[in-house]
Amino acid sequence: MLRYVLQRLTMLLVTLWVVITLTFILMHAIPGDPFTSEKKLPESTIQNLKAFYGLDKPLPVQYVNYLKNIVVHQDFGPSFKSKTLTVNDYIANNFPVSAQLGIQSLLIALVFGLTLGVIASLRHNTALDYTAMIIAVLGVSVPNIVLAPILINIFAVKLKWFPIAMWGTFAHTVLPSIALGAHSMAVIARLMRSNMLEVLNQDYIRTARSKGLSSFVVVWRHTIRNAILPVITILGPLAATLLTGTFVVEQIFGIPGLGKYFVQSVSDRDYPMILGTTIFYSAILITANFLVDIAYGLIDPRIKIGAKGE
Amino acid sequence: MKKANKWLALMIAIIMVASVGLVGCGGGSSTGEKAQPAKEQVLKLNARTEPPSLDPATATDSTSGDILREVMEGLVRLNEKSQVEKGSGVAEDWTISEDGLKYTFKLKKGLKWTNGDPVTAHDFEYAWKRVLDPKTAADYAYQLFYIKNAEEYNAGKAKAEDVGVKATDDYTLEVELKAPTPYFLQLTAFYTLMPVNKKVVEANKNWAAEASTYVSNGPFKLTKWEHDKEVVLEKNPDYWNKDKVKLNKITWAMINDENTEYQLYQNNQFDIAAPPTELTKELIDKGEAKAEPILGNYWYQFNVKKPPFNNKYIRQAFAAAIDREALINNVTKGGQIPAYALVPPNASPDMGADFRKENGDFVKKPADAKALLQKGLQELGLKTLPKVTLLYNTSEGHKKIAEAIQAMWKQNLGVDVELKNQEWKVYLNTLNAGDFQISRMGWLADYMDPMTFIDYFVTNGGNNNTGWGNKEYDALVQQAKSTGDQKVRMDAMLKAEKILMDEMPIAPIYYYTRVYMQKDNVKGVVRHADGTTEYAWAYIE
Repeated sequence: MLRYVLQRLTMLLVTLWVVITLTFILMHAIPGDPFTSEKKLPESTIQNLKAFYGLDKPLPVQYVNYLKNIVVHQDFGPSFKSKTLTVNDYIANNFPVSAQLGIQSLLIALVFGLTLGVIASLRHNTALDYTAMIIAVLGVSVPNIVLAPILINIFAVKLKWFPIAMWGTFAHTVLPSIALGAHSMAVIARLMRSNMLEVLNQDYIRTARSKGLSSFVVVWRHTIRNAILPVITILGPLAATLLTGTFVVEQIFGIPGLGKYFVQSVSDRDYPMILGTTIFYSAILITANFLVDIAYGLIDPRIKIGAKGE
Repeated sequence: MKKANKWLALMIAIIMVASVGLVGCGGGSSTGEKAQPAKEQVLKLNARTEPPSLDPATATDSTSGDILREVMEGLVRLNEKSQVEKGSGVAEDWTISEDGLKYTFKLKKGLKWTNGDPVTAHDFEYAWKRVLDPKTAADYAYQLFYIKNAEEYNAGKAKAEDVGVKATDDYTLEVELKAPTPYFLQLTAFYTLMPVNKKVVEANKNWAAEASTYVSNGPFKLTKWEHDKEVVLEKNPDYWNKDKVKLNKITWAMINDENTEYQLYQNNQFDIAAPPTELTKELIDKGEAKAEPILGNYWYQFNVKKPPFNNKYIRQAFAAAIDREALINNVTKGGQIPAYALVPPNASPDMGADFRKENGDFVKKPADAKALLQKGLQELGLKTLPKVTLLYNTSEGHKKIAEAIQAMWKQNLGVDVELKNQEWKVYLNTLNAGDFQISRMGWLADYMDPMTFIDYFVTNGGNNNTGWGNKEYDALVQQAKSTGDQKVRMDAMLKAEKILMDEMPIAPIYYYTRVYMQKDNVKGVVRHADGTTEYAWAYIE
């Protein structure tokens, strides 16, 4: 197990290095630089700016300096767009907000997704099943750019249960969390339903039933536990998506998250911001997958991880 | 593995995934601003985005500029009519030498920074030289290039002492210009030329990043800056003209979605907002939104180095074939003003007459377009027009305009024009490389004077991507730039615009407007022609 973890950690670092290098190369390959602007700056000013940000040095030197700054100082550098805050400041200020939003929507997705999925499978081909699946289909097919304004219109403008937008109290977080979590909830519900149906048809369930076990025990102990495994598998990427994919929802609800900088930095050619947010989000994605792999092995001992069936 | 362990593992899996981000779950004090009664004098605005910099030296955008105008004050503050007025800013008085090159500003006495320090002429000298210092790497250093040796210092070819700005005592600032610049006084109201407190800046290079360390000298002081969330200004009790400031507080939220902004405005959480694009025309028609012209021109530019636009009649034909009224009524719908020349109306507040009224319109009518095209083709020795492509930068608005104009060219000229779009920075690169036939562009005034539009088109001008150049035009611009006599300047610029509009390297389309909604009880907001807004004299009724 330890060997496996170490192996995976090494892979994690190598993957991150590849991400950094590729991003660095691609970023410099796109036409236009941070100082290309509609109102053209005098050449001397551009030279001053390049010297200020170290862009006057050859690319390999910039690359090595950048790596050194991350490894030695954990410093992602200045933001070209903001003259006062660094990329580290942005991550420290804004990621906690994205994370809170991501976690709340993940919880919504899990709780409601699993519940809907289980109910739908147990009441297979009944009105309850159809209702649950209509909710799931809507969740999958209505994008959050559409869902968010609908939620605002109904629950904030008409019913006045929640604030329209902005961030601060718990009430501010409810609608955006739903808007962000709806899609994942639907994915989980559908996945859970089909897994449950599959497991319910297995021989051992029939055996369990014929042994006279109560329905509760059959469902709770034998069905859900087995059906939930594939859901665990997608939790890693799902969590990463929810933590990182908040751009649209953040924009609509005016939430001070990191998502917009992840997206906006590319059109600004804000090199340190592009690299910083990409590395940061990649690290989350890779770590989430890594954790899920380990959890997966722990839940189902038949899945051996690492060397020779520990 | 035991059964209980499996559930434990599931819980761990969920918690671990969740914990990746738990670091930040704490935050969030309430900012839910409740509706305030009028006597509170709180103005609630939306900045849309986080201001990238509140340091006058490095700010370059309108969001930062709006806030800077309230917290800082330069030598001049423009009055309600957008004019330069003696005593309206930090300078009480000034004298200008006869040749228009030397300005001597006398500062008001007893002015204070928000930390209690006196505001002196030395702060201005320090602030301006700091902008020009190559190490500051200020994007807008060129706003000071009118000063003697300023450009040279910025390029590392002169020393700080050589720059033509000097505080001869605490209250006297002497400025030497390179050439007479009648709009220089107006420029001193611009944020790049605002002062900074030398002591504060030298002690902490990040002084402008947080409200707690921010020191300013304007009508308001920065009391709260929650990054990406809210900026709060409160009335500065030490401001010299505090009796004229009626607001106690201005709050700026950062909602960057136009529909959400509109909902919040309807809900009285904002006092001023911009209407959503789809509702703009409807709200203007209903009188709920207002459209006011600002100094900006949206145009299509022709690459005069590439056929068929190397011929002026072809350029005139393409410009004439655009039905501007129809475009504004059916496509842009923001109350824009059809443009038949370069310089927008109201561009010359300090010159007596209005430039636009003096020079009139130039673009020919759609009915003349076909004849012009034929004349052009004849001159080029062509029977039919070669393939033409219109390039624009990716945006829904530009796309709609391009499609409408494409249809007008088809209808009024009988030509097929292909559309092509590119991402913004790629687009700018393409324009700089001159790799286009027709492309969209626009220009917003840097200062309120026709020159900000006229000198755009000098031969090889930094922003002039049309490839067009004209010796006579350049000479007229030079003449206008070397005199302080407003009449001589005006005449030279009028003549220059005539040449440009006859040659027509650009097809002006519309003059920009600023569209806004404002609650009825909000009064005294000053909107300048250059598109900037001041709230220092605003109040809630």
